[in-house]
Amino acid sequence: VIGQACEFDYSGSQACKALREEGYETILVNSNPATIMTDPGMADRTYIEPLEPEFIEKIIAKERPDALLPTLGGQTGLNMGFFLSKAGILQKYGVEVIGANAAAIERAEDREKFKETMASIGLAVPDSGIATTVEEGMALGEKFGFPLILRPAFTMGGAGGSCVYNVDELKKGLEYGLEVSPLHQILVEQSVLGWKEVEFEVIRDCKDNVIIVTSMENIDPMGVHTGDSIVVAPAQTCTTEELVDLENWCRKIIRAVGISGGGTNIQFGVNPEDGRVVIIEINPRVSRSSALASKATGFPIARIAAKLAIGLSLDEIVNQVTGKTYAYFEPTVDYAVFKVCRFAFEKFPDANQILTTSMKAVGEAMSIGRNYKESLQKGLRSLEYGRYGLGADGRDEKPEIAGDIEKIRNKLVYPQADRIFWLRHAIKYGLTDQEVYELSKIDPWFTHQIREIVEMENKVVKYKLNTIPDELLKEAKGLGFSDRQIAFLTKSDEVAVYEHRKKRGITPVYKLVDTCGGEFYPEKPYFYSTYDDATNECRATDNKKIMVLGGGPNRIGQGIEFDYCCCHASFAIKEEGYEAIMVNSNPETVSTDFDTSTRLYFEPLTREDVLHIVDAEKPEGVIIQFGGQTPLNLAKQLEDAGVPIIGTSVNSIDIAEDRKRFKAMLKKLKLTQPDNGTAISVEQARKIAKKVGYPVVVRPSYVLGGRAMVIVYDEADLDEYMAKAVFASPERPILVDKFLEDAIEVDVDCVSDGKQTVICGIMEHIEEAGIHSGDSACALPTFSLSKAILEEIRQSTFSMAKELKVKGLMNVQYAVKGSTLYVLEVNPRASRTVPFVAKATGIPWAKVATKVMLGHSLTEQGIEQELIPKHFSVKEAVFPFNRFPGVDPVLGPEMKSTGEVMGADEDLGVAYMKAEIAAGQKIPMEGKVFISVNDRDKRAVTDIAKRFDTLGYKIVATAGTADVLRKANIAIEEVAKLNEGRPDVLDLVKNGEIKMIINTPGGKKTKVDETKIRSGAIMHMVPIITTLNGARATINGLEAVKKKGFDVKALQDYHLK
Amino acid sequence: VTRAIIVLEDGTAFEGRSFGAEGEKTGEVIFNTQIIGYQEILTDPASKGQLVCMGYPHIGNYGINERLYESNHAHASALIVKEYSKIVSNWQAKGSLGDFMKKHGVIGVEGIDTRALTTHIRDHGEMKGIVSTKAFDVEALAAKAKGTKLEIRNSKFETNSKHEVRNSKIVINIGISKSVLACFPGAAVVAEDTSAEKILGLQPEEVIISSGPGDPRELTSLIAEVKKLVGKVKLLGIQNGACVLALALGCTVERLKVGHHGMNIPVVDPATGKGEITMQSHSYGVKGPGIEVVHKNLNDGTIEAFRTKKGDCAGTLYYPIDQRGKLPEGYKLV
Repeated sequence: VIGQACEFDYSGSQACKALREEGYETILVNSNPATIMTDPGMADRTYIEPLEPEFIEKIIAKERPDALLPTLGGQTGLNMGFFLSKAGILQKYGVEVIGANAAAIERAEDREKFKETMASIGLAVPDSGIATTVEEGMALGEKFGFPLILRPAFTMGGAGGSCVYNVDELKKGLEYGLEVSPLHQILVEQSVLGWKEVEFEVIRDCKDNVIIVTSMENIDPMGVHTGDSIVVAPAQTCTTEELVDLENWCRKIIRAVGISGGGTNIQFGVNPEDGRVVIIEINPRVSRSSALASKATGFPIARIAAKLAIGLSLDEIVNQVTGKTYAYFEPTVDYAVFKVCRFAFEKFPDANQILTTSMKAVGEAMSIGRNYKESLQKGLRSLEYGRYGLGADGRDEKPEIAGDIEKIRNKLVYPQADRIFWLRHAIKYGLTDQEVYELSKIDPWFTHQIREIVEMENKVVKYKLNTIPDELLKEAKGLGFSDRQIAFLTKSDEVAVYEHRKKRGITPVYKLVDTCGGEFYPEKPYFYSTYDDATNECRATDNKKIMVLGGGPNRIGQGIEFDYCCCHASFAIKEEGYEAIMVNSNPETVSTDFDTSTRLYFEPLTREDVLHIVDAEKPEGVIIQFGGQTPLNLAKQLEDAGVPIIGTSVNSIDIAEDRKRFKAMLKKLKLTQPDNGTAISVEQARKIAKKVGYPVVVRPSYVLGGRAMVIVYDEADLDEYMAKAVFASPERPILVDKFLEDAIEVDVDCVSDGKQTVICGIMEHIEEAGIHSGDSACALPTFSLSKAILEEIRQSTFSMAKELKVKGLMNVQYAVKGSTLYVLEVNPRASRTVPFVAKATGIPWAKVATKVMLGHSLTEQGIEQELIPKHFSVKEAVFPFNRFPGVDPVLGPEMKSTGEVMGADEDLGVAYMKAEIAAGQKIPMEGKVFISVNDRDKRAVTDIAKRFDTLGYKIVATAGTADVLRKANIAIEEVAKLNEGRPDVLDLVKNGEIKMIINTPGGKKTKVDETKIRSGAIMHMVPIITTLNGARATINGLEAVKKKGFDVKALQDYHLK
Repeated sequence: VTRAIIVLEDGTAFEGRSFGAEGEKTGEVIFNTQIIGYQEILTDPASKGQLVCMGYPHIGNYGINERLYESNHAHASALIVKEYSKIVSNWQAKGSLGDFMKKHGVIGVEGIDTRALTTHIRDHGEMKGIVSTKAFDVEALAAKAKGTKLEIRNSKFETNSKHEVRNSKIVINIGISKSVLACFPGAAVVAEDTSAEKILGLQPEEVIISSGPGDPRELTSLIAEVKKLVGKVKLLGIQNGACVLALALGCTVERLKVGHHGMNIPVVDPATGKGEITMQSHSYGVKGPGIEVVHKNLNDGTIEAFRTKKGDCAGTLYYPIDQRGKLPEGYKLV
């Protein structure tokens, strides 16, 4: 979820390893199957169960642990520890909390206690007050004056927080914030907007030894959540005196809060005009910032925190990176680190895109260079937004927009995801560093770095590739200019620039992340490239080795699942006696951990960066099928450059991705696909749609996660879509497919060694075809498919794997309509579902696939046939809608989820319920259920409503649906539609009377009202089901749960050998 | 752009650009891993004559403010950095680092691979070097560096008039910084050639031998005078002052292969593991016999703080202060 991504897989995995090293038996609870930490080998007992007190208590009762470590699982873990302790559950079972005790958590998280604690050491807190009702909050607002910042207590990533500038916004902000805070408590705070935001990672052990791991400075000042800010480490614009003062505050704070045997993140606001300091907040746990600090310095905070929690002290823990010093020291760096954020606003066009104190970023990339200019440009090209540095890459705004001073001012004042590019436009327009500061409050030091980049751009643009002096080219590379940028500036192309550079000997050297700024010779450093230096510290060996390309920053459609696969590839490579070389830029991941691979290159995943590493390492093979779309996009270019890609061939990947070639292959194999065509104009699209018949699915070619993919029901819809999709052209065609209504969608993962193919798992979707597979819940094994269809699925999969000569993993999406099997899509690479299938079947498929690529047949590995588990595993998607108030949470062919959870049980219904609860749905066991469905669904919903009625739920409906249901003898409480009298349905939602909503979208006419109801439900955390199949699964689940209740079972017990 | 070069006595050379004073200077080449603190390092008398290489690549960002000087002028001979900031950005800044260095005669070399210089010294030990903005013949410069005998200890440091009256604390100044001095409010400050008789005549409770530059073993007459003070008054030595005290107590003092220069250095009580992260700038280490180890350096195991069995003499090789000149909370000097 936003605010809590795979950084906690990183911290959890580190903790498991650290505790095991010390001889402890570990029990891990996490509902996310896509994680490395939930691998059966990581902990002794692994529970993929909902992170809810009811389930945790059951696990505690079963396992009887000695201690609970809640500080490594983000805000979720911390809250759970706190609530379990408060509820007396831990005392009941004699479980000790380690890492941070309940009193310390409360002093840090409870706003009132935090203020008191800070006051006791004399540290200023912005004027603020706690409100538990809207009225209290309004009174506080009046007292402090606007603007104000609202911070709900005990939420993650600033969820529910906002900056408000007037009474209206305050009221709305209070209502929402009080709702989302688990304690219904909100801090109304005088704003320090525009102050410098400086954070620290601080650690204290049981001997009262305290260290500051690093400082970090947000380029975007106070007002933008640190998770949405561009961050540099260490802080750049504070004097020694200011920083030492802040560090001394940190030491006082960690002692006053009472953390001993753990770490905390501390955020300060510093007034840039006079140096005044206020404390903003602290997080008494391993956080997103601590993952960043770990990767930025090489100091593994999570690992250390786990060891401190069990009573070791800093001076006893060896610093594994240097191999000769201890964890008791403060890391230092001799390079520049940037963290840049990846957003997903393109998925939520209706969302407010201004960045505030509520985090909206879905992923991040970290970059390292020997100066900030190099590092910044590397960071921006790591984001894979299609930008190759800070502008000058042929992707800039048109001059009339980039040069519009009103637009520039607006973009500087109101921070959005692209503000950094507007700094460049502002400089080009002629604004001074000071003027930029006044508009944006960005420190002139940072603006000046960008100015130096612009100055270099102005020098380079005067040359052609064959005239540019070597010195200047080298200098430009030293400021982080990519080959794409240089190609754009010199009117050349990327490959020519690369070849030219190599000929002229202008290539990067590799330097180390060693925790100590070169003071000691490190045993296990990791690497980054730079052009700004002469000496090379590359440690490439002559041993045989395989390189793995990672997935880069998380985004919707490409998340932790692919990092899971990359890590497994690395583990398998090492097991086979090769060196594993990892390339990735995502600081949140396990793959960028210093001890996951033999050598780690913390680098952008672009052509030039990867090729240079290949040159330095000369691997026997490069694996590109595990990192999602990122390395796949590079496949052709790398192969053309002579890189030895192993596994399924680039040609096969192209067959699967190229519509024409794919169609031809299916024809050859006598497989069916929905009628379709490719359009390069509106007229053509209309023609195809008419031919295949409405409804049709339309989308641009070569996209990830169903980007810009919609179902259109008539020609008017199609025209509207095509009008928006201006990019339809021969280079960028639009794909039109017949949409299969009411079909069952099926996902298949398989592994093949070129000769033999084995099914890893067949998953049946809960939602009907048309909902993106990443957003749909699915079950393994299947539950409604006939033996004949399953057999057809298997044979089709085998024949395609054979035809594509797959070596490794392949994913196929099918739709079953009636008795016909349609092939929707084939991806001859690791898919999003691989980790889920691995957890459901107990077989590490990514590892198996890697070994296949290294030449071990499936038979050799003992993988002979499909394993169909006796229990059900259900995967459910997790959505970020609560971050985007007002956005319609309805599901469609475009993927919107940011994560996933899993529920397992012998009973499908119970497994589904577990998944729903784990996904954060507050499924009610009684109360009122609001049902409103479109006309198509009215008949089918009757049966569902009846079953809810039988279970004792009260049914609420508006006129249309109510009439239908009454005819079936169901007692209905009728409620007014919006604008048809009060109280209306939204009132009932807001008042907490309605506990669950079943609402299928009715079409354009009713969309406005429905969006209000649906987004209202999200705001008030009322579970909302937008498909009939979802509703059916829910009632199945509720019936099963009411009959049997929940039980918990460790992964290890499901897969007893 | 003016060229500037740093050449080590072993012939290793790095050429970059000048950003401070121009000229040529020979000195000990020291690397410092601090990210911040360039102004304090330059003005600390203990840096006298040093050619200081900063490991962190961006130096000069927040400018210069004389309120934060560790003494009235710069003592280091040169500052070697990766990238000198072209802009000063801090509300307190009163000027740029480059201008300050020009005014105080500190040569600046920027644009070199400071990590390469740092790791070279790490691997080969601290050595002499030469910086120049005038001559660029590497061989000649290396020979010059090798042949020059450094004269660090022939300077006098400030005293105050408080030693005319009876004082509970007396500081023998061999190059103290403002921050260290601030630990001893009201103390009298006397020159390093003050005799033991004179000091005892002032009836102090405690005598502090301050921090300072150079090789402490060269302070033979001071060592002889301190010997006379042992047993008669509480003695505290800081940094090189601790070396002087150790020599007076009959211990050995040796040059470390690589000195300790940074603000992230852990020292711990060997018995308990409780420690402090300290700021250090010393190239000499103390060895027994006859002293108790209070703190050892956790990185290399060398003695960082000691005391005599009786407890009347103590020394810390680190600065017992943070960069603000404050003692860590709850920390006792002796």
